[in-house]
Amino acid sequence: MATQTTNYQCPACTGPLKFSAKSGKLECEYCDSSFEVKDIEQYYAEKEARAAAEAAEEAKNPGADTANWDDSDIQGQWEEGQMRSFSCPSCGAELICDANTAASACPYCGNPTVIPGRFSGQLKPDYVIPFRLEKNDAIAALKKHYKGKVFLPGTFLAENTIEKIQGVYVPFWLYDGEAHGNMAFHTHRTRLYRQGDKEITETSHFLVERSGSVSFEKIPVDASTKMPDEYMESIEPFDYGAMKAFSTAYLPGFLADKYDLEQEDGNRRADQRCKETLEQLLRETVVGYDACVTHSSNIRLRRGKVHYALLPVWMLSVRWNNESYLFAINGQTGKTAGNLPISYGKVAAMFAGLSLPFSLLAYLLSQVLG
Amino acid sequence: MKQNFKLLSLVLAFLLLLATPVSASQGWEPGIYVNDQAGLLTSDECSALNSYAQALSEQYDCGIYIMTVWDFTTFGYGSDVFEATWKLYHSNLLGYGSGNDGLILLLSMAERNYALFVYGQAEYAFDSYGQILLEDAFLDNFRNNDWYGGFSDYLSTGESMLSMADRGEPVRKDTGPQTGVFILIAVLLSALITGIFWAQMRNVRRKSGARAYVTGGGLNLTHRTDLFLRKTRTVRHIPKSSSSGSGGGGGRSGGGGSGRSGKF
Repeated sequence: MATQTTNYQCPACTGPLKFSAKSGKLECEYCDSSFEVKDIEQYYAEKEARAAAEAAEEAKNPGADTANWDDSDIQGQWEEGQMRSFSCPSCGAELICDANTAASACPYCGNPTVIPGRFSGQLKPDYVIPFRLEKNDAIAALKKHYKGKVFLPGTFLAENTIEKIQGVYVPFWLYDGEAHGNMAFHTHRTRLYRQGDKEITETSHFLVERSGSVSFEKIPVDASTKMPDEYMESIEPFDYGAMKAFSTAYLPGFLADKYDLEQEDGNRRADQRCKETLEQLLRETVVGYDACVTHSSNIRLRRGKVHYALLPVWMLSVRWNNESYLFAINGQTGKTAGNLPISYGKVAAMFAGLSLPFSLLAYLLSQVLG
Repeated sequence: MKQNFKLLSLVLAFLLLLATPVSASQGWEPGIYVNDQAGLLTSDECSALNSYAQALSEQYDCGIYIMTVWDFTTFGYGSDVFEATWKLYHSNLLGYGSGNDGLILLLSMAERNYALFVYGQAEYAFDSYGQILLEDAFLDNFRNNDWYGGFSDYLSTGESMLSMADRGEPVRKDTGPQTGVFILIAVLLSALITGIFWAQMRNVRRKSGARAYVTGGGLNLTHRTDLFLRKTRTVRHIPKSSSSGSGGGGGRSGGGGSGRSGKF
């Protein structure tokens, strides 16, 4: 009577495993790995159990990765005449403010000529984090950012129009969600020792697997194409403890940017950050090895709610030496982001000023040790 | 009684003679530059080497000597071959000129020790680097029991180094490559410091991950497996030194001069 046979694949390289009568183990002829029969049976039993559990999960939540974000919490639209709109003819930014506030210059490009327009039909935010920093605090933060930067050209500070800094509520999509998945790593541990006149290196190779999940709340992705994403990410995080339900009472005196990036377009960045975080956290659980290389990664996302919020940012756009420099200050924490211009003359002077004495010292040291 | 006293005096005198480490037992006569007490050389070899050494010494006004003994410790100059050598050099008033300038190479056969002692103005021609070069010239010969060859190399290499020193160009270590490396390190250090200040001018960058927004206690690890695959073993033979077990020389100083000593 024919009996069923099971052919196992090598976990390391997926080559066929063959039973060796000499060693009593299952051996892979491709990568020379060898396993006890019971270990392989247990490994594959656990793998099948995990696959079955994931299949059951998929059946409950079909196509979880491709499910749309839940935007049911997002409020309706603005009331007619509630807000004023301004557009910048230079960079195309579209700003809004309350009826009693006027925009004097574009906070993105510094253009002083902004054109008022009609504003209607936009989504109203769910949340707002009010400004905690006053204008003077923002100016002080920016001056602190300039301080101690030895390569900053002197004329940049002299010509800087720091008083033109403006407070802007930047629109953000805030994503909730969960990432779960598994990763596999090839790792090894090395032992080096001496035996007589021989130096012996023993390397033990392992296949390491990790599975897990992590939940996220309100990952911010800025909803304005005018606002460079890296600037907003550089001034994170915002303290969500101070987040309030949206009210126009927080707007007077400040501009607000209109969102022009739909939440379906913003979720790509949120997805990427979720995946990267789970991969980092799983990788950190692999300890006790001399080297670790990622073999495979399978991360799935379960999308939750998306919210629309306005977050406070002090902004200044400076034009110097035919280049534009943008500075952003977290209107809540004071964290500042902005690339500064560099005086190449000062760089060369520092390099020469260090190289010459160091080289002389090196020459003298080589003569003494010679 | 008188006879006993005479006998006792004779015995005491004999013992005193044995205990005194004097140049008489070292046999260093004037005009001798090669003192082969261990009998390693034939008389012709000894004579040829002696003539060569004498010619060099007179030409460069710097004594160049060779001595072989069975066991340097019998001189009573201590158990260190280098110390014994410089004491021997000074006690026999070797060297040329008022400064007793010269150098001596001593071989002690009992434990196969050697010592090279350089004194006075001879240190101008044979600094620490020059002594290593001189040592390299004869040491391999002695390890192969080629005594005449080793002493010939000692004298011929010594001659070329004395000649260069005489021209005002003594042999010195080429520090060019070393200096180049040191200066390169200095320049790289300068670039690193400059780079640190440069990096301060740029602080706008994308964030990796979203750890600040993780909730629910962080990572929920549901499965972990560390599966041993295989062990590989690499064996490397550590090459022995070319001296077949004997150690190389080491730099020494003492007796007002410098030199090297070791085993061959």
